[in-house]
Amino acid sequence: MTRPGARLRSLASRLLDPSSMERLIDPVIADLQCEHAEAVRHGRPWRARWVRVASFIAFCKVAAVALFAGNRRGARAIAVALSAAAPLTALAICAVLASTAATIHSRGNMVWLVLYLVPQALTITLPVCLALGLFVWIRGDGVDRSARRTVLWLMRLALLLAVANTGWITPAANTAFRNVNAGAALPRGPNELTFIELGRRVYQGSPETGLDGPLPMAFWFNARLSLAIAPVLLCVLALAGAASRRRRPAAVVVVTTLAAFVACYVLIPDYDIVALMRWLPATAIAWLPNGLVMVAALSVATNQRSG
Amino acid sequence: MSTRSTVPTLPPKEALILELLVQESELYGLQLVAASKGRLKRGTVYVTLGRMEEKGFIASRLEDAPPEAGGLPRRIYEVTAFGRRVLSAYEHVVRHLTPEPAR
Repeated sequence: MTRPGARLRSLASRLLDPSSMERLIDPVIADLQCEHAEAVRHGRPWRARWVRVASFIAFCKVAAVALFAGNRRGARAIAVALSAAAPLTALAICAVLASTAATIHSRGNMVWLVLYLVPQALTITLPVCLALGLFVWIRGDGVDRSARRTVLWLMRLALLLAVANTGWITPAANTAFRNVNAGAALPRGPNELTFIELGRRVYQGSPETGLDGPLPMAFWFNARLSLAIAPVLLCVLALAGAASRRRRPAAVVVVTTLAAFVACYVLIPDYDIVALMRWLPATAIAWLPNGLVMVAALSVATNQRSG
Repeated sequence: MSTRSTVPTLPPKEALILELLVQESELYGLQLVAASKGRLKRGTVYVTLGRMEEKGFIASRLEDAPPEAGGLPRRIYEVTAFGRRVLSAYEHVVRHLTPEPAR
């Protein structure tokens, strides 16, 4: 069995330099292991659990300080990402509430209804704010080995969170939203189906429920897939923009593309997508925002080479 | 010239750590948290200790964890001669330059 804190230490060693590990992280982990072993030896399991939780919080604080100590650009990147996250999340929630205002019956549960919309809003704001933060962080600076490792970890983490959120958390929250609003358990539409259920509908042709709306299941399935991998593509855009020597034009392209990406998901209603289906297949429409991001990333990278 | 910049200052947490280390001679990070009676938190004490070590106020060494506990060696901290002088200068300043309450 691994000692408490061993995994945290291993994670921190990938992100931090040896001096920070020795001075900041190792003392936290060593004290945790000692205190935990003492609680276990005295037969106090709840104390041992509390030690784990308190030490985990201490570890997070120390690791955050170690990551950004003397790194004002990093602190600025976090501030920019967080200050963009709040209004973007609010915008995404307001857009859904505005489009469903006529169907909201349970205004007494408004706080719960808004909370249930947060996961759906995060599917968009999380990758956008991560990309914005990365762009601010490494813009104009050479990316050293430690920063490269941090970026790779952040991308993996964001991808994992996005898959879990778009695939399972958001459908569960949407189901809760509809049920609280109606005051009863309702049959689920495409926004309430998990990845696997949507995939089954698309490839095995399960019977339609009548709640599927005007857009085909293939659209919903591909839209969900494209949202799940959006963090990686947006991070690629941010990295391309940050690496560019033509700082101002690159910044304009990155920020405009991020705004357009948000607008694609937040401001375009279903009936506009239906209208677009006259010219493009539903699957292609679902991947359009990601396509836009890739084109922007390529244009920034190409301009960098020719500039 | 402003006199404010010439008066030596010491952040309250660093002063407290120096006081505790002068009293107890050697302490682990967690022992400092316990001895401070809530004035130091485990999330910040290690960062403050690291900063104080860089300034030369304190020194540290690794000590093997107790055999029954095992795990990583623990870091134990002690005050340096420079740290003692800084604390005594700070206490002197606090004693003599703190304004008296108005009568």
